[in-house]
Amino acid sequence: MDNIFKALADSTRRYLLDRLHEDNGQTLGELCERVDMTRQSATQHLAVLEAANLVSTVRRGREKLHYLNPVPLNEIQERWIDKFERPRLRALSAVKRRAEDDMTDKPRSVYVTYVASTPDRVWQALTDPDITAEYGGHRNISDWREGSN
Amino acid sequence: MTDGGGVVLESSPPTRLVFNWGDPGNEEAEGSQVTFDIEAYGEIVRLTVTHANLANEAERDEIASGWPAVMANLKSLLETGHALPQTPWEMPARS
Repeated sequence: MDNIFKALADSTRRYLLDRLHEDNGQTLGELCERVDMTRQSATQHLAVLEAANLVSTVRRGREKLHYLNPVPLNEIQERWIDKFERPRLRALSAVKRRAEDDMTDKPRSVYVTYVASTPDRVWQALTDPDITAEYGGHRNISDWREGSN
Repeated sequence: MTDGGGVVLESSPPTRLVFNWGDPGNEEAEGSQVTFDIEAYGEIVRLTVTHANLANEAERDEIASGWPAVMANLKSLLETGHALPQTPWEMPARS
């Protein structure tokens, strides 16, 4: 199973799998075109995916067609998700949905402004107590980490 | 404008900050949530404040008049180095 996780631990290879999921049975040329990479680089990534059995290939004349093989992914799901987590995940998503429904029932206020600045400076202005004091921002929270008061 | 304060629910510098807004002395009250979304566009930034889960329309009206004043002051400070010369949320409502 190591080679499956190694194969999946790369954004380009996940992207290749996504492209095959959209349109299964592509040639190397078609995949290169859609992911904008050289044939050599795509060939290397596809070889890793094939070694992990995530992609299987079929020869058609001079061409080789690449197909997504969902079997290893299904094994991961059965081993890591179905057995232990499915009921809890279902409960969690029900809670999330209910909470979000509640949120939308309650009034909300949205205000948008545009500032000639950078995200970093705006972030600092929202979180640095010395700066928030200058423009009357909200009460300051110790260090703005999740869970902080 | 009332001060808010509470638990940070999400902190993703420098693009998103979510925290509970409520009376810290009143743990029982179900608070509202403030979300700041920061998006860059060239040399400007769009700052969106979403204040959700407000108790009622009256609280929404109060909050909806408060944020523009605070954000105007923040914008002036970031662009000029100074907050507005008068405190904007103390300006009397239009008669």
